[in-house]
Amino acid sequence: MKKRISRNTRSRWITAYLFILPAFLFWLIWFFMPVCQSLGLSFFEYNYAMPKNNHFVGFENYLNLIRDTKFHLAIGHSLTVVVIAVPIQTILSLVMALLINSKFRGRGIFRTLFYAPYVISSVAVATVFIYLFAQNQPVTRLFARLFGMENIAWSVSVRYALPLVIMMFIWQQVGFYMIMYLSGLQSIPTELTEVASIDGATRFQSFRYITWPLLLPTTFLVVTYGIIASFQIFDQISAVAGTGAIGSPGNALNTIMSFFYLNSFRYGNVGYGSSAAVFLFIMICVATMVQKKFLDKEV
Amino acid sequence: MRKKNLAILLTAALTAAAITGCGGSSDSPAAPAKEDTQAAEDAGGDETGEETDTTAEDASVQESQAEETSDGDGVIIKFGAWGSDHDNAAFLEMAEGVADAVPGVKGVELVTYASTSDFWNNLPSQVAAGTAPDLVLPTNENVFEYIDGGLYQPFDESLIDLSNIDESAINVWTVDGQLYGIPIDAQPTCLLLNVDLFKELGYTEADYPKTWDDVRKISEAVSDPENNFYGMCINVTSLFHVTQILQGFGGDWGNGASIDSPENEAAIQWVIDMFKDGLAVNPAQLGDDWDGTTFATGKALMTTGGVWYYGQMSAAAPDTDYIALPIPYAEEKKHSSSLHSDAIVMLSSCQYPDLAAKTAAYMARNDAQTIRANGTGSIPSNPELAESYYEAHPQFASIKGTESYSVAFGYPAQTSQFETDFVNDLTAVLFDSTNDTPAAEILANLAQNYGTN
Amino acid sequence: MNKVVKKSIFYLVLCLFTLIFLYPILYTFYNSIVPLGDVGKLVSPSHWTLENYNILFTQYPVLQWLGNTIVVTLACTVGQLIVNTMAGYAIARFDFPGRKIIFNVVLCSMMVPFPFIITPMYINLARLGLNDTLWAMVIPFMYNTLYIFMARQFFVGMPQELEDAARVDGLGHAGTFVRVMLPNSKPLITSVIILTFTGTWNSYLAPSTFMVTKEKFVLSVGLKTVKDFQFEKMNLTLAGVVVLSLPILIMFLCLQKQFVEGVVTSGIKG
Repeated sequence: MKKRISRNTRSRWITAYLFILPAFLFWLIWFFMPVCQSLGLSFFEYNYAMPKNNHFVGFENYLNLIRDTKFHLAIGHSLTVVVIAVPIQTILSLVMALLINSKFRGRGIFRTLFYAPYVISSVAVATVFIYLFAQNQPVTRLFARLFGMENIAWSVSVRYALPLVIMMFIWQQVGFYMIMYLSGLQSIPTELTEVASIDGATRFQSFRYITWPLLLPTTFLVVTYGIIASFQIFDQISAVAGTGAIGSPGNALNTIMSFFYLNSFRYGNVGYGSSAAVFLFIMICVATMVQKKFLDKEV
Repeated sequence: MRKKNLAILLTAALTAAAITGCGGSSDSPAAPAKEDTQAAEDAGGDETGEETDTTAEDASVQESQAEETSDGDGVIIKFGAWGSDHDNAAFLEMAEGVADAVPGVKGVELVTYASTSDFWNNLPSQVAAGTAPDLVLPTNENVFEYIDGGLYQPFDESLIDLSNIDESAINVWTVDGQLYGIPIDAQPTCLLLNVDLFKELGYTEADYPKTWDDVRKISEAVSDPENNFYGMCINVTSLFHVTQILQGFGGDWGNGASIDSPENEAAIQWVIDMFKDGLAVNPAQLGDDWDGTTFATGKALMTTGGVWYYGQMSAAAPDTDYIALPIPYAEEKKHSSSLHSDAIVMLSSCQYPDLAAKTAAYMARNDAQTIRANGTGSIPSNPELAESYYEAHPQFASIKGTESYSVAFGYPAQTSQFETDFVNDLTAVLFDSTNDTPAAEILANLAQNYGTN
Repeated sequence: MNKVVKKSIFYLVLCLFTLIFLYPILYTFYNSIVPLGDVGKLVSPSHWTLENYNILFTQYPVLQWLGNTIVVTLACTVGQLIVNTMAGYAIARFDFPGRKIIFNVVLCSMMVPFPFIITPMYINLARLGLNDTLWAMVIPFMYNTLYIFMARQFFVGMPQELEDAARVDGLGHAGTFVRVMLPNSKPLITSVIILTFTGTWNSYLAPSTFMVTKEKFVLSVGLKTVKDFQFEKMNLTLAGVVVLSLPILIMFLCLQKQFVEGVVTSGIKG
């Protein structure tokens, strides 16, 4: 009897490994290997194109990073993006998913419309947002009047450039998370909410006590990926910069990701850039662990 | 049992796909080349973590590539191209007949990049992987960084004939007495002025600005920020435009030697004051993508630039009358402007420099310059061809001759990093009403980090 | 009466969202059908023109780029669908040594920014002779840790009864996965298809790094070459954005019908 079970268990294990094998192989060759290669470079002064000064520097890149005031700025800006963008986009995408999950005429069109920003390239989105929030534009004037802000183009303002980019980012990403929530909502049996409403529960109660708990795995997914994506925000920053210097105006858009990108790809300082990326990875890890404590108790 | 078989089958099929995916293309025509590369890889060792060995390995990969291309009756020179589709066609046309003109060369093959920034992003990977082109056609704007870093190798001037090319263009491509580029075009920078608006505002030809003081006075008279109209457009998100003003003031970056010179300070302070007083505008302030748009849509009377604004003007404002003026000065005879020049350069990784040099010279011959000028509207580096260019484009005629005092951009060696820092430091002052750091302080900081003195 | 008020509020909120989402899209589309001089201005319909699209399709090999994009996207989508759902299912429903480690590896892999690995990836591809081939845009992108994570979260929420029922019917692990789990995973499959399709279709960094032959470009990269000398023309660029985005929106419009309430429920009943 005992033997039978263990053989059964072993066959379950083998099946599981076989199911994972293809993903594992691709991951090993096309992810793990390149990561090790780049990771190794963070201990070098390294330039791919102009290799004459390449040499081993040990932890020097990391030590310089800790002292680099530009990098401190970058950390602050990245954290700002995460703290603002993640809660807003999570709530917004959930509301949108709930809105268009109910049956009504033309919901296919609305779904497509909400998804559209995620599809459109950041360059086009930046064009529109830069124009909308240019000086003397109605939207800029409206904000100036409502909140006592300056009538200045947001994309060049040291103070407003980051909010503009966060706004673009949320606007573009929210459709993506909406899809995740839609998919999560599908797996909730409708009987549950129907039974609840027969029992006299209000809409809000049935959401609070039935839908929300069942959506927790999805929320965990959305928040986790939201944190990762917000830390890695770059397309919008690069699009706002256009052909000019990334991170301007006045370092307002200098994030860890743009710091890494500039060093690795523009300055040919791959070692230093890589060490910044490692630092970014560590920050995301910590943030994910923190939110895991709050959201996902069963994992 | 059957279910397990299915799982195994599915996995096996996918794994096979993963592996044969790599090997599968052996059937393709490129197969021999790949085997060479793999052989080279075996010879160079299979490790990927030991970075110190990569240079040796790269060399072996490149050797195998040389073998690959040098079989038969000559080598194929790989030419890196970016820009528009028309450019690509032009490059191939420019290279036509190279096999007859340069013995040992079979032809020119294009390596295409989607844009300039893609070129700079991808080149490092390609150099490391041994797939980089032999020749490329960059501008001279930030070339010092790459010459200094050893990305390009100098041409052996005894192999090529440069008699057809303007001397000032040769000069900006010569560093430490060695020639790093064969110029295809040579375009002095200029101040563009919207003549229609200028006349509408009550000015005449006699009022064309000659000094930066003139520019400021005109801007003071015409600027109307409330209605999005400015005298001067200065794109401060890149180094190019500010450098024009700097050189007009008699300043120079001096490749890092003179970052905080008094002339530079005066120029940057002039820029800061123009913005603080609402007389100049950065295109993004108005929601524009670049200053060509701002100028073409009549939101600014003047902007610094070059003949490449022609394309934008003819498409966006075909009926607008505009003129190119020499870059203004602060003191006469004590100023310069930049010579913007695209040239064919040779990467250090090129395995057959002599053949590549001859190919480059062939592609810079007069006929080739004409082909390129027809495609892009650039001013050829041959003085006679340039002459006919000015005849065909009278709006640019008044900058003819300015190339004689035009010089290289002279950016410091770590150009990209310097540019980012400079733009950030400057915009921090321009677009924050509470920040009034003087130009001297900005430049002193930069000189500390990037100065060579 | 109450119902009417509720309905009105519902549509009001919907319209507000619509306005915010529609404006930039309309702006993009509008500016793609005007001459360069009219970009950013409201002009009479007599100025409207399809000239930008005409230029795109006659002066650039847009159809060829489109073909490349379709091939690459379909290959990636099919591969990812199989690889990711299998891995996600195993992590969610099997208890085996190393499961936790694998799940954490999946999580951590998502945290590494893609540009971090692009250069070594290119060097490795070049060693295999795969650079500048369409394979380069397919083989490294056969899996995605995010979608493995998504699949895992989805399968975790699946009722145990489904699996038990399958077991009673005599189905093994693979049979359960193929015959019971996948047919009941329509929302997951739909969202993975939508997201993979969008991601691959729009991806720029990898194809622009791996490909150097104009004829082998995908649409997103090819459209970047649409410019006048060094500078992009806004109306042409935006026409390119429309050409690039429209196929995805059509794909989405077709697929979104699969998001129907209560799919799993019907599975249990049946």
